[in-house]
Order: sequence, then structure tokens, then C-alpha cells
Amino acid sequence: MTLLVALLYPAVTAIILLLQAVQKSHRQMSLLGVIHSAATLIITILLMAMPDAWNGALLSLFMIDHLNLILMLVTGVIFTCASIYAVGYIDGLVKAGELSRRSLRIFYLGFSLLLFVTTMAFYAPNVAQFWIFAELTTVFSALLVSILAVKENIDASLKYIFVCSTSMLFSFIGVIFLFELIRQKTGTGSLDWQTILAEAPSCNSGMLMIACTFFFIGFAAKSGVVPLHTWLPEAHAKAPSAVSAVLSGAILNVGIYGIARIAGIVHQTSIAPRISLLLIIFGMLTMSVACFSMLRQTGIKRLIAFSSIENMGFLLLATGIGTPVAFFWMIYHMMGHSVVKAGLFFSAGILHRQYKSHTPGTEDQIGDLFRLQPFAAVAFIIGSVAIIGTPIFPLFLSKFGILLESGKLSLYIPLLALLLFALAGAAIFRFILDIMGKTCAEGEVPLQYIVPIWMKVPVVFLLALSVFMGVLMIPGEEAFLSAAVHDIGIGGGI
Amino acid sequence: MIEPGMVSTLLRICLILVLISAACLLTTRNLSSLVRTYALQSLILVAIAILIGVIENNSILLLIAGITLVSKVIGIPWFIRIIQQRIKIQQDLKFSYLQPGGALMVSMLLILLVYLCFSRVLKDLFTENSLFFMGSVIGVSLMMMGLIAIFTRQLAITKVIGYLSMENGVLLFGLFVTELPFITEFVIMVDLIILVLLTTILTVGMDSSIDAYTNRLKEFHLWSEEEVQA
Repeated sequence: MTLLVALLYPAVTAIILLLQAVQKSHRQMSLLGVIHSAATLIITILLMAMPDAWNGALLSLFMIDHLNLILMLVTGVIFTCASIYAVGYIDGLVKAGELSRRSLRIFYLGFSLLLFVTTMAFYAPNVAQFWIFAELTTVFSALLVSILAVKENIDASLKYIFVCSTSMLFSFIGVIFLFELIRQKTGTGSLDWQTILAEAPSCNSGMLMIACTFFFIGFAAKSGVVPLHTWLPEAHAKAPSAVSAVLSGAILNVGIYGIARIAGIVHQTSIAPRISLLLIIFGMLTMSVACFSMLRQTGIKRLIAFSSIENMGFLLLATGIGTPVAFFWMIYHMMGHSVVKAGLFFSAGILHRQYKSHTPGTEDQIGDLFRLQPFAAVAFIIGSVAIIGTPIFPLFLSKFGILLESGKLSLYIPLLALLLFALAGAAIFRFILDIMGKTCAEGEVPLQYIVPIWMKVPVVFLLALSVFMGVLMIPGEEAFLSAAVHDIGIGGGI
Repeated sequence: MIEPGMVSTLLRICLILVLISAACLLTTRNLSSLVRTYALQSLILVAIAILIGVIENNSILLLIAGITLVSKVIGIPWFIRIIQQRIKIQQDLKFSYLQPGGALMVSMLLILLVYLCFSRVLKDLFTENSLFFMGSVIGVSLMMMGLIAIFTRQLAITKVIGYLSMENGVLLFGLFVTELPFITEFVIMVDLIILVLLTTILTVGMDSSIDAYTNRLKEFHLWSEEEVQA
């Protein structure tokens, strides 16, 4: 089965890319995008249903375990929803003249390539391969951010590339150190995740500390950790909404995945407490900066982007705590966050189409919200309720679990975190109340934007999925998540 | 065959030349000299890879020298030169945060800092060979100097050259510290080329007037003239 994926998946991608490259019709290009994402999702579900086929299997190009399958499932769901959403959304952008028809092919090729490199990053069996694909996710997502070819977008895209790629060079220094460390132990050297995990306990702890710190710098930038977060609000806010959803729901996970893997490796060694402290400090710092920044945001997409930074900080905090329970809820939080955040960006995308606030330099001029866009308004409010961690939504469970676990380290951590969550909630609801109360001036009421069904379906699906995740644990879900924690290298019961 | 003593002297000379080229990248204002300096710096790296290959009798390093020569000495500088001609800007006069003099001072401090840190961390690794220690210190220092170039320069195209110089630093560090599998080096080069293509194309948008942007992209034949049917 692993062999099948190793051969089938790149073959499917190659065929889709080839067809997209020769296809002239917009509708067919977007359909191919949906097929590609759905194929990825189906392959992932098949793999999850047949654990015996891949358990312990390791090919030179693919490593499949519980952790990367969970993240691939999330990635598959987000990309499939985003590509369905794009059918209606991109059409709207083209009709409004915001996206040139000539850019369509670049957009769809970029979208498929982004899905491909994200998949390859998760399935990468060694650190160098993971680094390269993670770097390529930056390149292709920057291409998608700049697709509107407006100066603001190009600026955001270049900022994204410069911040992430320069930081990723630091993490490559970390990779070189890791290789040398393993070479000293084994004689031949290896960068395989499994080998590093096995050899780490007997490695020189000073050099491992340096290697991990360098590695952390790059992936912290990739996941928007303060102080390397400056690219994120720009890129996520300026990108077309289908792309913003993918960036927040799937691409940010690549950075956290790298940090979680390396934290698992460090967990085997004596330097674990020092790295944990580093992660907790940066986690709290990231949450604080993000929550305070959320208070003064007036643009809807920038607000959601800062909320992503806040959640990344929280994930970092959970990684820093480092207990099996914390890791369990961290993975669960990643799933919940991706689903809810993508839904929020999709709703924001509908509001953007209505109020044309894609126009650079202007703030969102939202008015008569419930009269013009009742669907998007309700979806945005439900999404906001979900993202701040209200019961029946998945983020409530994960926040509760992680905060309980952090209380065992120090009571100040959950206290401060709760305060920050309250700030984030206040920021989001101040924004909602603000836009709910506005009415358009007489004669300036915009024409109602008819939301295509393609744009509504993914929003409804994601919100329903988040409620489902929050109230039900499907049979085997808990065991699968526990196995993923074990795959990272965190031993002990949950 | 060259004597080993001679090779190590040549390597030391090359390392000094790398530092000089990094200093030039921080201070040069003329865009075409910047690209020339970068190509020269990459050429020195090629020489270093060949020399280490000779010392260690390692053919992989010669292959790395080969792909570096093709991509970084010839390919990338050629592409950047074309972009420079399109944006029609000859000089990068504006500096933010630090003027060239200050940038050089900060670089010197950083080199010293890297030396101090590495003499504590990497002492065990290079007890018998000080040359390799020096190489790794200069590798990371070159990376830091590239970072300063990115921070202090304002034009996106100059930032690209700063990034490329940082990448040269990583390659230099890798050459002296350990020998990564060739496939890794190769794929990184491919990744670098895609990154440079994208950033330099975007640079046309940033460093020139936006009205001309679409036309300029058309000049590169990046977009086909045919209309895509809805």
C-alpha cells in the first residue's frame, strides 16, 4: 500500500498538472483542482482505514505514520473545500477584473503544486527532504499571494519570501548540524526522522541544542511565531480568500509539524527542559503580541490572520509543555483550528466580494450586513464563536486540556493564557458588534452579491464538521491520536 | 598534484576573498557590480569545493562544484542581469537602518561573535584541523552579512542578492562541517533557482512602476497572449 501511494500519488499529480497546463477552459481547470484535492483526501482516508498496509513501512521517498496521516487528512479536507470554494470565488474575481484571465492557469497550477509539496513535506522520511518541501510551500504560496498582481500583494508576497526563506536558511544550518551529529554516531550519517529519534539520546547535547535552536528559528518563521510573524498578517490578508484559508488551515501546520517532530527528538535527551522553556516563552510571547494586535484591527482578514498567530502560539505552548496529554490535545487543536479557520476565511471571502474591500489601501466598508449577506454574517459569527473556544466546538476541548496540563507546570501559565483568550474574544466580538451596527448611507448601498452555491457548501460543511468534531469522538479517533503522539517520540500513557 | 600544504594555503586565501566579496556586497551601490560580485563569490566557492575535494579525494564535492558553477556563477547572475535591464535602475542608493560603514562595523562584530560561539561549541569537532573551523566560522559569518544586506537594502532586487549571499554562506558552512548527500545539495539548488526566478519576477513589480508591470511580464512571455476561455 505504501508503495502504491509512493507511485500513485506523484503520478496523479503529474497527470493533473499536465492537464491543467494544456486546458483552456476555466471551468475545467477548476474542476481538475477539485479532483486533485479530492484524490489526495481519498488516498489519505484509504491509508487511515488500512493501518496494517503501512504500519512500520518506510520507503526512501515516503514515511507514513499516524501523525502525518492526521495532518494529511486535515490538509486534504482544507484543500478540497478551498478548491470547491474557488470555483465560484475565482470566477467572481475574474468578472470583477481583479484577476487577469491570463493568470488563471498560473493560479491553478500553483494551487496544485502547493498541495503536492505540502503532501510531500508531511510524507518526507528525512529532515532535508522535509526542509526542501517546506521551503517550496513558501515559494508556491507566495506565488498565489501575488497572483492578483497588485503592488500591495507583490509587497506582501516578497515580504513572505524574504522573512520565511532567510529564516529557513538558519534551520538548514540546524539540519547540517544534525547530519554531522548522526555521522559522528553512526559513521555514515543520516537525516531520517526515525534514525535521529533513535540516536538522539547518545548525541553531544551541546551541539544538539545548537542544532535544535537553529532548526526552530526557521520553522518558527514558517508558522508565524513572534518576532518572525510580520509576514503573516500581510500575506494572509492580501491573498485571495481561497488561498488565505489554505495558508492558515494547512500551510501553517507544516511549520508546527517540524517543530513538534524536533521537540519529540529533543524529548529523548537531557536538553529537553531547556528547549521546553524556550518553546513556552515564545508561545506565550506570540499569544500576547497576537491578542493585543487583534484589539486594534479594523480589517476582517487581518483580524483572522492575527487569530492564526494566536493559535500558533498556543500550539507552541502545548509543544513546550511536552507531556503526552499536551501533545494529544495539540494535535487535536491543529485539526480543530484548521477546520474553523478555513471556514472563517471563506465567510470573510464572501464579505469581501460583497464590499469589494479587496481594493488595496481601503478598510472594510461593511454596512447592512444582515440584509445584504445574511449567510456570510451568520457563518462568520458561528466561526468566531468556535475560534475563541466555546463549548461544543473542538477548540474548547483542546484549550481546556492543554490549560489543565500547563497548570501542572505553573498556575501562572493558564491564568495568563485565559486572560489572553478573553482579550482575543473581546477583539473579535468588538469587531462583530461594530460591523453589525453599521448601515450604508442612503444611495450608497451596494448591489447584493449573489453568492454562488460553490462558495456556500464548503462553509456549511466546515462549520458542521467542527460541531461534529466537538461533540463526538468517532470510534478509533482517540487511539489514532494517541498513536500519533507515540510516533512523535513522546512515551507514556495519555 | 598539488601539495597538501599548498592546498590549505590556497583555501585560506579563498576564505579571505569570500569575506572581502561579502564586504563589497554590503557597500556597492551599482547594481551590475553587485551581481558581478555575487558571481565572483560563487566562483570562489567553486574553487573551495574543488580544493576540499582534492584534499579529501572526494568526487561528490567536484559534482557540487559543477552544479554551483552552472547555477550560481552563470545561470542566476545571467537571469538577474536581464531583470535589471528591464527595471532600468542602475543604482541602489537608499539604505535603511545602517549605512555601509555601519554595516561593515556590525559585520565585524558578528564575525567575532560567531567565532566566540563556535570556539565553545565546535571545539571538539575540529580539534585537529583549524582550517575547517575557520571555514565554518566564515560560512556562518557570510550568512549573517547577507542578512545585514537584506535588512539594510531597500530595493527588492538587492535583497535578492543578499539572500543569495546568505545561501552561499550555508553552502560554505556545509562544505566545511560535513558532507551532505549529493541529492540534497542538488534539490536545494533546484529550490533556490525556483525561488530566485519567482522573487526576481516579482521584483519587476516592486522596483518599477506598477502600470508597466503587466506589460513587462508580457515581455517575458510568462503569460501567453491567448485568452483563456471562461
